[in-house]
Formats: sequence, structure tokens, C-alpha cells
Amino acid sequence: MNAEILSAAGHQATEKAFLKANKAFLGPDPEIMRDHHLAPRSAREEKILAAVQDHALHAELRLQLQAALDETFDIAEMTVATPAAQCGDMSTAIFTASGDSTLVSTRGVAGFSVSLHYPIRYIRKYFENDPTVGVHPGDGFLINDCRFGGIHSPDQHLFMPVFNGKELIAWVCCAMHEGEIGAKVPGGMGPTIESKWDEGFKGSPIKLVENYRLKTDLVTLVQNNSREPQIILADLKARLAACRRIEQRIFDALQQYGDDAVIGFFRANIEFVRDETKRRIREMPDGTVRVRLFCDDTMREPALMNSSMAFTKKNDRITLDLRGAAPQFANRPINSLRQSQTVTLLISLMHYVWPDLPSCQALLEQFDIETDPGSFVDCDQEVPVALCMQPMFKVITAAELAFSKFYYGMPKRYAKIKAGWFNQPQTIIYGGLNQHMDSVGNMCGDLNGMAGGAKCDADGEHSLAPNFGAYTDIGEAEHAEENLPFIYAISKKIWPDNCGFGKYRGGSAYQYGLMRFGTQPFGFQTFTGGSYFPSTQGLFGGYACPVYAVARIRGKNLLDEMKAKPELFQASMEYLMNQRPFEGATYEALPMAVPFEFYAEGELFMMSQGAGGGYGDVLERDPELVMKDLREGLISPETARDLYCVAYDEALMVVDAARTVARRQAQRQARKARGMSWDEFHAKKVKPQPPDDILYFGSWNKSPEIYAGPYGKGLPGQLPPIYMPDPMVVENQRLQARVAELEAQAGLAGKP
Amino acid sequence: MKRVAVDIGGTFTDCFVCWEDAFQQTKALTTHQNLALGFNEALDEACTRLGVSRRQLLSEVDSVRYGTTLGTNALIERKGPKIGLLITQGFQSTVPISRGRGYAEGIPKDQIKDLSSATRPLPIVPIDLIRPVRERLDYQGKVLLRIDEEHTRRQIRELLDTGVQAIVVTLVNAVANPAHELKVLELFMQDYPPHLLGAVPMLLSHQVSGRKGEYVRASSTLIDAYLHSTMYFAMSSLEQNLRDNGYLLPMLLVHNTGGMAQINSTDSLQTVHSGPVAGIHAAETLSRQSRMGNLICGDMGGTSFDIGIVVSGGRKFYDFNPVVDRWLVSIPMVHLVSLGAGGGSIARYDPIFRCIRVGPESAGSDPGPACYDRGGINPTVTDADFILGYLDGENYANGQIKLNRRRARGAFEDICDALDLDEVGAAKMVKQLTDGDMAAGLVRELGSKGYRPAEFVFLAYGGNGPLHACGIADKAGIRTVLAPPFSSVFSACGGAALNQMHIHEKNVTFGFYNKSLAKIFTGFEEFNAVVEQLKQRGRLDLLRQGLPEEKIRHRVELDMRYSIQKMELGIVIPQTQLTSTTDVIEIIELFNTEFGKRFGVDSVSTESGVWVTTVRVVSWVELHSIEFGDMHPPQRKVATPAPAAMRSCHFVGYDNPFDTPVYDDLALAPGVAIDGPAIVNPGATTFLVEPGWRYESAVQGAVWLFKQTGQEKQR
Repeated sequence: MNAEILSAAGHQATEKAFLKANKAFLGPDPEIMRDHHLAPRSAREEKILAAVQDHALHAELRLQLQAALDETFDIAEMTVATPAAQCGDMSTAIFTASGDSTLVSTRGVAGFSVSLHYPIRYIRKYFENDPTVGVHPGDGFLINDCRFGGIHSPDQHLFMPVFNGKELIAWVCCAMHEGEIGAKVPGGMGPTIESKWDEGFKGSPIKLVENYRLKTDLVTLVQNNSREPQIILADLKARLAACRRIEQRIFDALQQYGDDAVIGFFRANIEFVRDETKRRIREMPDGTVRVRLFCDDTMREPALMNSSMAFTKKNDRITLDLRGAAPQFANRPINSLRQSQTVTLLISLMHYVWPDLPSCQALLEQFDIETDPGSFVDCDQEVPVALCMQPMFKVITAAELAFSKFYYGMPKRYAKIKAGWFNQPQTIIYGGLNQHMDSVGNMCGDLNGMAGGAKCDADGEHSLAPNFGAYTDIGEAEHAEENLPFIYAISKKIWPDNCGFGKYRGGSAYQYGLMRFGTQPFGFQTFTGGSYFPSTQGLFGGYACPVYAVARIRGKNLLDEMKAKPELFQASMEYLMNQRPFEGATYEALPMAVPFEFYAEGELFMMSQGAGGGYGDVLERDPELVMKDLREGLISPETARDLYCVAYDEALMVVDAARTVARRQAQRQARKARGMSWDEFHAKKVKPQPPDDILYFGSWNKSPEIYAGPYGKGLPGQLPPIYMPDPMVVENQRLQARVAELEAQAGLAGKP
Repeated sequence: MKRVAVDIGGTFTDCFVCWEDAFQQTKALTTHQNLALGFNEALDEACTRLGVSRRQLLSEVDSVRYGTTLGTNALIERKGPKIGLLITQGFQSTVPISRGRGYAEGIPKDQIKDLSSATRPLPIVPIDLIRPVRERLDYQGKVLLRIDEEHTRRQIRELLDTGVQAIVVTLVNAVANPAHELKVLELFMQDYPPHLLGAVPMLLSHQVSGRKGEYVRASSTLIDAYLHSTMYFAMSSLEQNLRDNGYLLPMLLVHNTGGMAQINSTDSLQTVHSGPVAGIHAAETLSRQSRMGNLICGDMGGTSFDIGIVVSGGRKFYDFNPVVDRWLVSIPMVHLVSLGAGGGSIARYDPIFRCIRVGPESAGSDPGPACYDRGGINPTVTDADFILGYLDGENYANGQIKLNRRRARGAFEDICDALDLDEVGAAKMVKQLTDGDMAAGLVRELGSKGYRPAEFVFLAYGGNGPLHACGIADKAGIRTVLAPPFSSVFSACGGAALNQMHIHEKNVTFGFYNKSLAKIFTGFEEFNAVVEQLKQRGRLDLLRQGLPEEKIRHRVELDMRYSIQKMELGIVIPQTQLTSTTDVIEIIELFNTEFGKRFGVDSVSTESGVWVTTVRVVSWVELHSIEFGDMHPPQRKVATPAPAAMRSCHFVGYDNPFDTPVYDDLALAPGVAIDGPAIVNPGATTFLVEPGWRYESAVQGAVWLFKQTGQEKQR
């Protein structure tokens, strides 16, 4: 019997070895990609940490190495060329030899770095012992395909192993949003990306650096896959310099403190964080918090896609349940990989839940994640993911809101309870030739102008930072105009009622508009949702953010008009769109996903950044704060009067306290009159299935079945690939039908 | 040379008097209600020591120079006028939004990533006092939308009706063409001429900052306006005090650019941080006179640790976008970084990492450390130093403050309980982490400028500098420390060494190498005209202050960058005129060399194109400077004096205490050498010589500390 078993095992091993040796494509490894947990201690770490630990020494090393990462970040931000990274969309980090992140730079987008344990593990598993690749001192690896780690393809990261003699002791990285990677559209992202092959350069982990030098042939390959080859080169140089600088700091630490101290610290820091999060979760009450969120645009058509989720806390673990999400789309770019959800959960924990802890992967150790494979939050390798931020950013918001609720009853909180931050990447992507005749394709720093949610004790901050990064930069219009062929006809202008209302209001956000300046080919696009269903939510009665549209004025050179009739131009989106002062121009309001097009000189493309959610009941807002909002142009008189129910003297702008109390009382009575019992609510409001007139995807009520728009419904895993029709074809069909109808009416049917 | 230099700080007014070959350093408490009182008190003490009257001294000195943190304090305390802002239409929210990043400027690093609590500072100009101007220029300064004069007049009137006390104008691309900003001023002057009662000042952004960046230019101008009246009245009353006491020359104000000028040639923004900057200038003078090479300056006081860099050759590092209080501004300022670590920094238990965290909270001077016995209950760095045996409880600060050991120990109780340590163990941890934090700051500063600490001497001054110098240097990898002469009034001393200097700059877009066109810059005429225009402005500034034309010197600096990067480096060029493309290529090479040295040769990106973004002309008149003498320790050693006492002291890294000799001011005699551990306490300053370090004294009370190698120790 034993011999038989042994023999069977031997066959299996032989078979496995054969298959491994004859694998045609060493693609992404699900074993690595679906595991967000820490690696076990290595034997070396085990030996070091078995001794008594010197916490003061670790604190000293933490200070020193954190300073090194921050210093490197500052230099890299100034020496990179891509506009996004120049606005702080980058990070630097140190990892253990196993690939677990242990320290990340304070500023910027830590999420880039904390998602790099995947490619590091991949390299260690597949390349380290491959004689054609190997891992040696002075090597550097580039990655940008998120199927191997990272977030999405426009991000490019360089990471290097750090050796102490012959021993691999750490990895370091400089990670950033590169932008232009030769995709179907400039900037690497866009609504019209409908296949993974439209996404441009897809760099699996590739050894681009040997002996601390960039390899010219491979650099040329990467450059050859971008519209901005000169920026690619400058950024690779900056990344390499950054990695070398961090490596040098580690060498300094090794010299000063010794191998055991440094290697022990790398691991101990992770375990500190893991243990502390475990302790904090245990402090929280057991239970489940659900957050209802929807994506509302596939980027080519409006649709309601379930992005709801639940956080269940039990003992010292939390489960994030993303089941019931919309199915993946075979030809739309808003799918995301499972590991992307873990990264965004981590981002939320770093900025909104436990910001006092070091940023590292260990924050996630006590979390389990449940998904439906094949859903748009756990898509497979073959569907496009360029705009994966759509479902991903919902996780950030969901965690913000869920932990605010968990925190509510807790005596000790590690962050402030607050409503949702704005969560759409509302920026303009541009591309074409600039005034210096260089080919450019990237995005405006306005991406970083998302507004903050209202806090439990104060209003939210106006356009402050992207929901995924800290201390980033929106930039200056004057600098942008020196290099790009447009003018900020509107740059930063907060406009009324662009905030989530509440006892404390969410932060307001600004509108901006780019007017083409120059005649060279140059165009714009946008790629966000939130035009039909508010993308972020308020808390405890606070309002959600508004919905948004892109506005554009075309068919006329407004620069000529401004010269000829300056009185017609006002830098205000609502004025221009409502008053339509330029005769002969076309005025359009569009959903926020606008495909790339070239624009002629003097045409204007406008949009708004998004607002934060509100906190608490509007009727509890201090009337004086309402007046302040009114004076500052944050709300309209209608909002003050009808929503906040504040009565005031319009000439003097002074609150009429007595009338305000009366109005609010009346409003409360009206609310009561509109109210209904729970059972009545269920009977009247809860519908058995989604409305017919909405393209709906995902689960409905408590059913395990998944709705799939025109494809009917089915259990997860049983749905066919969802291919959406080309909107141009749909429009063409509609027009043809209309023509046929008109021809029939005119008696021309069937005639040539 | 006879001269007075004063540094008015938040707590003390420091005074440095040069009287021929004699130097006097005195201190008095700053009298915020009337700065002249504190000044007079400090000056009178110097007069007493010199045996002259205040009037005689003031009538004979060649200048009185002021460096002050008054502006910084006014900003922190929000003591300023109501300001209105006129800005290009469509840009009204530029200032409130502060590039998003505004929330994080000037806050401790560990608070930056907490977005849940992120809060911007109280605005200098509230949103409802920001009004649009209907106009627009393109990036080259060409008019896209001509200014709407009637609309502008209405906006001005509305602002004045709200009671604003100053108006700032920031129009987009005004540095490329100031015509529209000047037009706003013209309209304002027509409607509200200055002879009328209630006239308010109007400040134009292009006159305060010559650089692009509408937000930073606006914030610079707003702060300038905000501080204007406070600084004007304070400085004018100080000048009047001088005149009343026999001083008939114009008073000179130290600038944060490292120069100085009369009140009527000074923007208030130029005075912010001018005190600490003067300290860096003193370091530069010291380095030049004694050929000491590179210095990293560390001024450790009660609440902060200010770091500056002086490299051999006297090149200064400027920040072009420094942070003033909580705002990013756009002026060239001598690079200075302030860490929240000083003697008053509070230590607390950090339960996450099971150790101690020091600062950034500070007990300040009131109530101060627990051992001051003035009501402070939190353990501070000074309490730790006292527990470790470094401070003399009876003679601290020249005996002005008696230290209470019981209070110091009591303050550490909670930390000791949490860590299961005794007071000494906890105090050692505080010292270790404080020194480590400051060392990390030094290394970071040097690293970000492309330098290695081992190439530098650590110049340690301020009340706590010489006490922590060995510990900081050890952790930073620096082997040599110099506690300079006059270290307790070192910034005032720097003021005495300054030249009268003005900096003028102009934002330009000169493609020195245009890679798209494969062309080297040939616009020599335009370049030379810009230089000449800036020289002329500097010349006029100096002539207006009565300085002789033949003594005026100019230096041309260019801010350059590779066309696709943000990193701008200031390069001093040998030419003041360009005549050929060879000149241009030489300058590009100079830039490449400097860039490669600092950020790695791999980062040099000439192939992407090279731009000049700012031309800057520094105009100055060389004045007599103070002579420090040769600071190096004399070769010839003198006998070490007998210790005044022995004290049991504890040191980080050693389990048992050392019986440590304590020396008095006799140890300051040039040529004295002492191996650590030792303490030298001449009165105002405590020099701690840690084990493994050697003390050597030099002239003027300067003290060197050398890290010893194993062999040196054996010898």
C-alpha cells in the first residue's frame, strides 16, 4: 500500500515537474495574487527575534529610515518628469526580504508601494533561481501590469533588492503614477479602452537595471511603448536614483547598528503593526456594518452596478464581504482585480482608520476578503482594468463609513468619525503636441482636489487631497500653461451647493475649465462616474455629494470672442452654460466619462471636482454657519431657506432666530407626516427586482443571483461573458430606425 | 569697528556689541509691549561692561542691525489687519484651496497622513473678502481678455466697504506682464488717493515675488500685507528709540535672504525667520575666516532645533518655496529647517511601539520642564538631562533657575510604570531618541542636498546645542563638533557680520538647450537686458540707502532645470553678460555638474532640454565684518584645570554611571584638552563630553568636540 502511495506521489511529482518545465507562459500566479497576508518569519528573522528586543533601538531605526524615505520622496518628486508624480502621486518604501512592506514614505500614495509584495514574491518564486534572470546586488525590476501587482497599468514602479554581502535582506522601491504608456488613448486611461490589449505597455516584472545601471535596450523597449519617451527615461533615472539612495541609507544603518538590528527591525515593525491592529479590532464591538454603494457608468453607457459591501467584525478579525457585486465586463475598463480591493482597503485604513500606525501591509493582516470570482471586484486576467478605480475607490468610502460606525460607540478612537471623502478621479486627461512641439499625454493635477467629508465636530475641508493619498499637490495653473497648449479659463472656483449638506457640511469642490490655446493637435478626455448616482455618501443623516457633468463649448474660437467682446466672457461654468453668451457655439452637458477627442483653438472643456459627504441632520446646523456658507458662496439662498430652513434678512444677511426655529419645527412635523412604519416601508418601497428602465448589474435584495443587464441573471460563475454593445453602433441603429420611421411616414419606405 | 546687532526672539532679546576689539554678548527678556525696553536693557548691560553710556555707544557705532522673529510670532498669533484679495476671475478659490497640500504645510510629519482630521489653518483672507478681476493674460504676458475697469472699481469699492485694511492684487501671469496689476493700482489710486483719510495700502503680487505660481505668489503677498503694519510700527518705534538715544543713522533690518537693508527698503516678508538666518550667516563667516569647510548648523533651543547648511566656498542654500508658519510662499529664503525638538520637548509613552516618543509638544518656557518647579508636570528633555546628571541644579542658566530633582523624577513616573524602567533608564531612552530624531533631521537635510554627513562639521549652538552635540553627531555619523564663540547669542552675532544686500529676480523662460529644435540659446541681448535691469534695481536700492556706487558688487544666479522636471537648482554663473553659445554651454555644464553631484550622475537629463526659469541678481556692498580669529584649537596645549566637582552621570549605551569631572570657565582657556566623559559648565552653556569624545577649547570661548577612534582612545 505504502509503495503504491509512494509510487503515485512520485508520478505526480514527475508530472508537476514536466508541466512546470513546459509552461508556455509564465503568467500571473493566483497563489501569490490572492494572498494578501504576511509571509511567515524567515529562519533568520526567527533567530533574531527570539532574543529580547530593544524597542528604543527600533524606534531610533524607525526615525532614521522613515526620514530616509521622506527625503527620497522629496527629491524624487522634484526630479521626476511625469506630471502626476510631480504632484505627489508616488511613494517610496522598504520591504523585508520576503517582500512585506515595512515602512512607506509619509507623503503621497502609499497604496502604490504596499501593493508591491506581489511582484517581489513573484520574482523570488520564479526568477531568483532562474539563471537567465536571477536576483543580484544592483538589480532593479520594473513593473506596471497590475495583474502581477500594483493598481493599474499607468502606474510604473521600480524596485531593487538590497544585499548585505551575499545575503538578500530587503527590497526598496520608488513607485509612481507614470501616466503615458502607449495605450489606445493618451494617459493610459480612458473610457474607450475595451480590451486588455488597448491598455498599452504591460510590464510584467522585468529586470531593467543591472549593476545599478539602466539597460539601454530594455529602456528603449519601454520608451518605444509610450507617447512620451523622454519622460519615461527621466522617470526611470529618477526612480533608480531614489532606490539607490534608500539602499545607501540601509547600508548606513547596517554599518551603524549591525545586521541583526536592522533585519530584526524590518520584521519587528511589521509584527508591531499586526499585533496592534489585532488589539484594536478586539476593542471594537462585534457586528456587521453594511454600506450601499453603486457605480453608475460603465464608461460607455449609464448602468447601475452594485458595489455594496459589508464589514463583519468578530473577535479580532474583520471580514470584508464584496459578494453580490456586478459581474465583470469583457469590453469595459472598470473591472478590478481582487488584490486591488485589498490595496484600497489598506489605503482607507492608513488615512481614515489607523493613521497613527506606520503604513504597511500588516494593517491588513486581520482582514479576510470574500468576493465572487468573475465579478467586477474580482475579475479575471483577460478583461480590461484600466479604470479599475471605479469599484476600487468605493472600498475606500465603504471602509471610511463602516469604521466611523464601529468607532461611534467606542471610548477610544484612532481617527475622527466622518462622512465619506469624495471618491471619483475627476480630472481631465490631455494629449497631443504642446507649444514646444513635444508629444505629451497625461492628466491635470486637479485629480488631487477631492473634497473631504464632514467630520463629527466640524465641516469637511474644501478640495484637499485625493481620497487615496496625503499631502499631494494640485499644482499651479501658471506652471501648467507654460508647458501645455491650453489656458485655465476657470481654474479654481468653488460654486454654490457643491457640498454634502448636514449638521456639518462636507467640503466643497471647485470647477475648472481648459480652453485650447494654439492650433496643434491636442485633445481632452475624462473617465469617471457619478453623473447619475452620488458617488460618496453622508453619515448619520448627512447628504451625499451631488452628481456631476462635463460641460463643453465648441464650434467657436472663444479666444477671438474674448478679444472682440470681452463683456461676454465670465469665468463661470454655470453662467456660460445657462446664458450661452457666444452665438453660434455648441453648448453640451455630458456624463463624466467623455472619450478622447481633439479640440480646436478656443474651445472650452469644463468640469468640477467633487464634494465630500455631510454629517448629521441639516436641521441641526447652526444657522450662523449657514449664513457663513451663504456669504462665502458655498450654498445658494434656496438651500439656506428650503433645506436648512433658515430665515434671514436678505439685505442685512442676519438670521431671524424665531422664524428659523418655527420653520425647522414645521419641517420636522412634515417629516413625521411623511414617515411610515418599517413594515409599511418594506411593503411599499422594497421591490422584488430592479426597475426595468435601469441597466442593472449585481445582486438585488438578499438573492444570491446576479443581475447582468441585458444578459438576464444567474448565480455567480454561471453568467456568460458580458459584452456591451458599442454605443456608436447603438446610436447608429437608433438613427437608422428613426430614418426608417420618417421614411415610412413620408411614404418613402423601401425606395432607394 | 563699532557695531550693535540684536536678535529679538520670542523669549529673549540677544545683543551683540562690537566695540573695537572687544565683543560683548548680553541678554534681556523680550518686552512684547514695547520692544525698545528689552533692547535698552540688554544694551545697557553691554554699556556697563564697556564703561560707556548708552548715548555714547549709539552715537559712535557704524550701524544697529535687527534680526527678529516678530513677524513669525505675529503670524502665529494671527495679529494682523483685515485683508481683501483681488484675483483673476475664475481663480477666486485658489487661495482657500491652497493647492490642496496647504493643510499639511508646517505640521508635524506624523500628522500628515491622518486625512480624517486634516484641517487647514485659519485663513489670512476669508473667502468672502476675495473678489474677481475680469482680465486674463497668457503665459507669455499677452492680453487674452482686457481688464474690465468699471468692474474692477466696483470690486475695490465693495472690499473697502467691508472695512478691509489692506488690499492684495494677484493676477495670473502678472510676472510675465505686470500691466494689469499696475492698472488695478492706477484705478485704486485714482479713486482713493493716499492723501485721503482712510487710505489703505495695495500690494501687487509681481512686486513681492517675481516667480510664476499664482497661489504661492498670492500667499506671499498676503503674508507681506498681513505683517506690514505690525512690522512697520514695531520697527519704526525701535528706530525712534535709537534716535532718541543718539543714533542718527538708518537702522538696518536683517533679511531672511542673508542680507540686510533699511526699513524703507524691506518687505515685511523678508524679516520672517531673519534671526535664525543670521545665525547661519555667522556660521558662514566663521567657516570662511577659519577655512573650516562644510558646516551643518544646529541651533537647539527650548522648543525647536533649527538646521542650516554652509558649504565651503560660501554658497548659500535657498528655498524658493519656503513654508512660513503654515503657508507655502514664493521668495528666496536661506534654507532653514525647524524640527520640533528642544529642551522643553515633552516625552510620553508610546504604547504601540512600547517605547518613548519625544515631542513635538513642548512645555515651552512657561511652565517649562517639570524640574523648573513652575507648575510643569510633563517630563521633558531637560528633565531627562537633569536626571542623567548633566545639569547643575544650583547653577542652571547662570544660577537664574534652580532645578528640582524630585519634580523631574515625579514627571517620569508614568513612563517608568509603562516601561518597567527606573527614572534613569527612562531618561536615557529620552536622550537616545531625542538625539536620534535630531540626527535623522540632520542626515535628511544633508541627504536632500546631496551631501554625506561625514563631510561636515556639526556647528552646535543655542541653549541645548553643546549639551546634545556628541549624541546627535554620533548618530548622524559626524566626527567633529564645534560649539562656536558667542554661542548663546550666535544669531545676533551673525547680524553683526552681514552686508547690505538686495536680491532681485525675474521669471523667464530661456531654453538654454531646446531639445525639440536641437538648438542652443542665442537670445543674448534679451538675457543681458534682464540682467542689467535687475542690476539697476539692486543698484538703486543701495544708492537710496546712501552707499557709494563704486563699492556696489553684483552676482548673477540662474535657476535652472531640465525641461521636464520640477527640480530647480540655483547656479552662480561666472559671467554677467552672455556673448556666445560657448558661454551657454559652459553654464549648462556647470548646472550638470552641480546636479550630478547632488542627485547622482544618473539623474542628469541634459537630453531632455535645459531651461533657465529665473534670473537673479544679488547686489551688495561689502562692509567690515567681525573677526572671529582662527577658530582651530591651538596646537600647543595648556594644562587641564582641576575639576570644580565630580558628579555621577549616566550615558546612553553604558549600564553603569561614570564618576564624571565637572569643569568651570577655566576650561575655556584656549588649548585645554579633556577626554570624555566630562562636563564643562562655564555658566550659561553646558558642554557635555560623552565617553569616546575629546574636548579641546579654542579662542573666543569656542569649543571643539572630536569623536575618538579606538587608537586615539588607547593613546
